[in-house]
Amino acid sequence: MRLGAAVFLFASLPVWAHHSFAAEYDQKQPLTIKGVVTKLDWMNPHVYFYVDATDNDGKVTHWACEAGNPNALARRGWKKDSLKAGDHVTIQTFRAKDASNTVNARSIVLADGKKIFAGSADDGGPSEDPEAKGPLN
Amino acid sequence: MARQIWISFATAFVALAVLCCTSAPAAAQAGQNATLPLPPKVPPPGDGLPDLNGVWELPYTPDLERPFGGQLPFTTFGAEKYKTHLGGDDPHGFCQPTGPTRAFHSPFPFQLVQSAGMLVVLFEIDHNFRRIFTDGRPHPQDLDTTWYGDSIGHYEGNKLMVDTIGISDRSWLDTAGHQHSDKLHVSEVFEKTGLDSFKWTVTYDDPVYFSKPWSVTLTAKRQKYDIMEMICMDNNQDMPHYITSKPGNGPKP
Repeated sequence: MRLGAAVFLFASLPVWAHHSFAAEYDQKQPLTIKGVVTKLDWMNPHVYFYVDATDNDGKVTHWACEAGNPNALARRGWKKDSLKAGDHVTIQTFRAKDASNTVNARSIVLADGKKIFAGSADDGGPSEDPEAKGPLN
Repeated sequence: MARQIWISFATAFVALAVLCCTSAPAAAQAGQNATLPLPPKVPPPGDGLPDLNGVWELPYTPDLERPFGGQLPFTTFGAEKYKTHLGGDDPHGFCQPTGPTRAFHSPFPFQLVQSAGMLVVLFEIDHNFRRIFTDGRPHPQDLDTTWYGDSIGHYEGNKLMVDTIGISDRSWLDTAGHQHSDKLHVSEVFEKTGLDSFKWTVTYDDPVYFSKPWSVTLTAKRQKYDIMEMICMDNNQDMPHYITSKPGNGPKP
């Protein structure tokens, strides 16, 4: 299942954003993170949100997660409160190359199964998720 | 009778209230200034000139080779620079300017404000602008290079022809990493193709990087809403993480 997800993401990997994806993130390090959102920064050039993931031993890892450009997201109907502190999320990501706890979030799924912020326009490549719709669609 | 009239009135009022609240356009709920109304209409330039005023967007083009349709005609030097470049050295990753043309095919709209003597381009990306002088002036002598260069233009029928020189070599032509020297000579044609569209053809002539001039054409579409503010350095969290040859403050001259 996990491998399948990784393969899917591989096939739809964007090569470029408004700066190079590969300059920062590693397409060979996909990572699924399940956790709770602690903060959302709705700012240019990228929305950032922060997730606390707790493992089976109760250890908490703090992740910094990059999403798309807020202007592009807003034009797709997303709002600042589409994702907020306290939301439980499962995110498909790629890790930063520098071994920090920084990831690029390719898909964000809320606890109720709703996909948000998906297929951010500024990637421009084939990463558009055909299933994901903004509220304006 | 009065009671019946009252009930009809009340029913109509409730129906109207429900209709009013539920028929509010979905766009109004989006927030974040994505659907603010267009700026006031600018009078057309007159003199039979094509009217380019408005808010427009070109297709996002991170790699100019895609619309070009193949590898660019590099010189040996240009090919080597492209082959060995680091994505993390992209000046725009550090919020340094895009230069005059990359901004056009970024994933953000722009506003054109046109008078007979000048076309002003207000880019959403980086909240930056460009001016194209159409009052007949030549390029200045002994021009210092700048990020956006010096642009002059003239009209031919429904086309605006633009000539830009003096662009510093510090900007990249696109996100894929195609670069240029300060010898770059950019020509553009803005051709109005209808009320809500124009074709933008850009030609890059740089004998240091390319063995011959090459062009791409993209089509701009009129937008329904205003441009938004986009301040690149508002919260750029990427900078400490780039794999770059120029860490710290970013790419140096």
